[in-house]
Amino acid sequence: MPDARFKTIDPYHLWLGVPPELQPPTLYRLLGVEPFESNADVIDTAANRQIAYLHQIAAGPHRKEVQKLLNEIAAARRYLLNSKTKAAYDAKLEQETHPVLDDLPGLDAIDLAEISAFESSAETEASLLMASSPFAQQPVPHWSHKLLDQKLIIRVLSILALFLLGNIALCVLPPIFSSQPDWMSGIAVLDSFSTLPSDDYTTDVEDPDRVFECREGKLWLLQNESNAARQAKWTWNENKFTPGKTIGLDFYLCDDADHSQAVGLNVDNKVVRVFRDTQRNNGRLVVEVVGGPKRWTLDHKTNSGTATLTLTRGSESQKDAITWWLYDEKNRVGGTFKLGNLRNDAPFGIYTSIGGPQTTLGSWLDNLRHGELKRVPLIKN
Amino acid sequence: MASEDQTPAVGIDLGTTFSAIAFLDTSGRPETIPNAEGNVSTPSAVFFDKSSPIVGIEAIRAGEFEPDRLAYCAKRDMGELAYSKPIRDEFLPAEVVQALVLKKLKTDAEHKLGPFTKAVVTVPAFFNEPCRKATQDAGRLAGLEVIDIINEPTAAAVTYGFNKGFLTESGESHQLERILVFDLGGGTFDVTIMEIDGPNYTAIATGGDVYLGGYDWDSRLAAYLAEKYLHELGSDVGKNNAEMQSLLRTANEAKHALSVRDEMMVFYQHDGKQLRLSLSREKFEELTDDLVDRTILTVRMVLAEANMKWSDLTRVLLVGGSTRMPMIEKALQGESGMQLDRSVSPDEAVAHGAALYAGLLLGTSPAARYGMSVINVNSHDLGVLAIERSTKRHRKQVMIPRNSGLPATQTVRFKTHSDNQSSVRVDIIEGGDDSGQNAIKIGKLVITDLPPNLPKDTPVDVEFHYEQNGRLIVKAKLPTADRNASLELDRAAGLTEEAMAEWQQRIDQGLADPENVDLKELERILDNEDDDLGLAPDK
Repeated sequence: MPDARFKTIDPYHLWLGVPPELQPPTLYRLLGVEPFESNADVIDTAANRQIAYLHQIAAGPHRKEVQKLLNEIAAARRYLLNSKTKAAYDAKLEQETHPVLDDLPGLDAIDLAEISAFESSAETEASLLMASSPFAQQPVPHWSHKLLDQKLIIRVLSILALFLLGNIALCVLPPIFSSQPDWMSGIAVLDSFSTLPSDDYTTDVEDPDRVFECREGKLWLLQNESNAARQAKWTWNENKFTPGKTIGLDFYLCDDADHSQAVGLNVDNKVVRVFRDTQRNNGRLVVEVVGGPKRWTLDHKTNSGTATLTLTRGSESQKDAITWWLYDEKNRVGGTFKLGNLRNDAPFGIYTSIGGPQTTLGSWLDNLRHGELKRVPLIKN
Repeated sequence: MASEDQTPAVGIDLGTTFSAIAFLDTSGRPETIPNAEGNVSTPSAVFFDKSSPIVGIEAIRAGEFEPDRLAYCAKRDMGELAYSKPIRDEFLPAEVVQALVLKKLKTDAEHKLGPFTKAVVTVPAFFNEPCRKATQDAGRLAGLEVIDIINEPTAAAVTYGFNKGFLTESGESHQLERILVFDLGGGTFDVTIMEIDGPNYTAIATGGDVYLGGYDWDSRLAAYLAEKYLHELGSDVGKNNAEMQSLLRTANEAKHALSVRDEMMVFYQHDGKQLRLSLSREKFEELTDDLVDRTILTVRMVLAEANMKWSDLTRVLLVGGSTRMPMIEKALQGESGMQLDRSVSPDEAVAHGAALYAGLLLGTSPAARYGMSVINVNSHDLGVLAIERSTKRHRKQVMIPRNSGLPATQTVRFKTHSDNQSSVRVDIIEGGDDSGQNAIKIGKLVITDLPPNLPKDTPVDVEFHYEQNGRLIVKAKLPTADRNASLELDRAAGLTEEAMAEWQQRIDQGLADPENVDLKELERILDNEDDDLGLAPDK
């Protein structure tokens, strides 16, 4: 299984300098030495160097990821410092480096299913890295060597395809937090709103250009021409909010936004939204299920309005139960509620509410997210 | 020395898998207090039963049947936003789980000592500041006044010194002892080099791993057993939480057996099918050799940091239950070429040292009379996130390098980076690499309202003063602009006061299963939902 924690940061790349196209890394690359390095002192020194670096960052926000790499490096070191296991590994690597081209599948066979197979490559990696461990005593199957090369091709093609199909991979703006909270990993950015979401969404807004504007990868809320508040639901056409999944929205509600400005998530036409309660809570962010009986306040007087709202759906047996979190850089609040009669593959999207001409400008939606939450921040109320 | 009416000197070893509590008796000797079940150590496990939490061995047993209600090894999540597993659909702070363990230790000890609140609690030397703060908070939630926290290897070294008679009137060590404390516990690993010079205990260097301990050996063995079960009996027991809990217990028992025997039979039963497996110590060692390597590599690193060789040491002291594994002794003996010292009880040494330290702080132990002192080092760099002029990228400016003797003070001159700068911000970080990546931000100091027309390169003097108890005082001043600011961080991060109060209330109320009234009510209302955007009154 792919490690969801590794989706938002790439520790192999960031910390060990292994670029994505060379992942999963060989044991040599993991240690940062030349392939087939034969000098045991070089290998030992390299392992010590990597471990010393990882210890430097071991107290940081990604300490669990650091542990995973420490284990892998210790295993790689042991494997390559033993002449028998090294010889066996070198032989396998040799075979992998020079694959028989005829064995590769035709390029037309590559489809999304194979791309997702590529995403599962952590299993293959583990079997290579941990081959000294009895958990992986079975020899690495012949097909896996070919798969590595095949995966490389798929990765290159998929990146190229994504680039050509609208620059999706490259237009994702940095997250709103200076560093993305660790718990958020796993819910990838689905849409960063570099364009008005009408192509990918179904919307009940008749003329979105007049009330929304896209710039800097954000969907800015504009004023409505009439004095009435105007709400809009947008439904993402591709993905569904299925049991066990999480959806999220990064947003900013400007300091003097009143309660007529709200942003939120639209789940099967039910709305969970956030607004600034200028009437009773000194402008603090408030979460409510529209039509629900209760509201929750993010308890911080000076929160900047930059925050993330996530909704996590219960497992199959509790699929109507929703755990929600509202999180800014300093505070979080969360809880559970139930949305009745949710479809298994519930459509979801974004929700906005804007005021009339007197509305203050400056609030925006940043990213719509979708995936599996690694874990969530602590509950505060 | 403690007398009947004195505040008892209490020390608590709050471990990942087991915890222990000790006090100083009337003669000033540390003594472990058995729990209500009669054991000297208590599993750091909490089972959230319907009416109230259960802590200890009963929690472990109940957890085999309802693993979703079991919180175990919460120490590994200290300093994180929450304990890694939801309990009753709620993510609890790890502090709350640890508080319940502490509360059980306190309650059981009070049967012997009477009511008390003051205690010293131990933490791994490699814990960062947020983890230390979380430990203090857990103590508060348990009704304890944590008079100080002390590093586990330091506590063990104090116990060693006490046992050797260094803390008596005539028994000061005649020659300097330089000890490497190798502390492999249930969930964490620490290496600390300490000098003992009479009653003075000085840490020289420390390193470790807060995710490496006996639990990892258990997990490896449990995974192996699950694989064997799948291979021989066709069921994937590893996917079932309850079975995995049971496998972990079987693995733990096998680990203990293989620490004294070369071979054993493992029996594991599930769904009417029994796995019968002959397991050798050799096999177990093969399964976990990289974990052993990690400990040795860390030891090497700490020696290098201290600029020492094995021959500079007088002793290697083993602490922590996991050092009972022969593979540890073999590897460490091979690496050091020294006889290893097992003279302190691996399960009690840390709690005893904490009690001795509590006695020192309270002035009730012999240690206080003989001028005992304990000097620690910081395990992670403390610094400022600055901007490198040539690259415009962040750089970590280390203010107090790791392994500095505490208290430590350092001043560094920075410069403003642009003309007419209106404010200066000092981001205070712990750990991280040279670029400041993966550091923990523990505070921020801002000087605002700078005078107009301030030129670029105006000097900014930043001073850090870091105390033994974790208090960090940061001062910044612009000497040419007559502006300054200071900040005192009494351990950064952790739960807010409001959150502490809320959790205190919930703990006091018994943490029973929540009622589902609100959910039903919500469901009823949502079924009749309209999209009225008007503001409904708060409930």
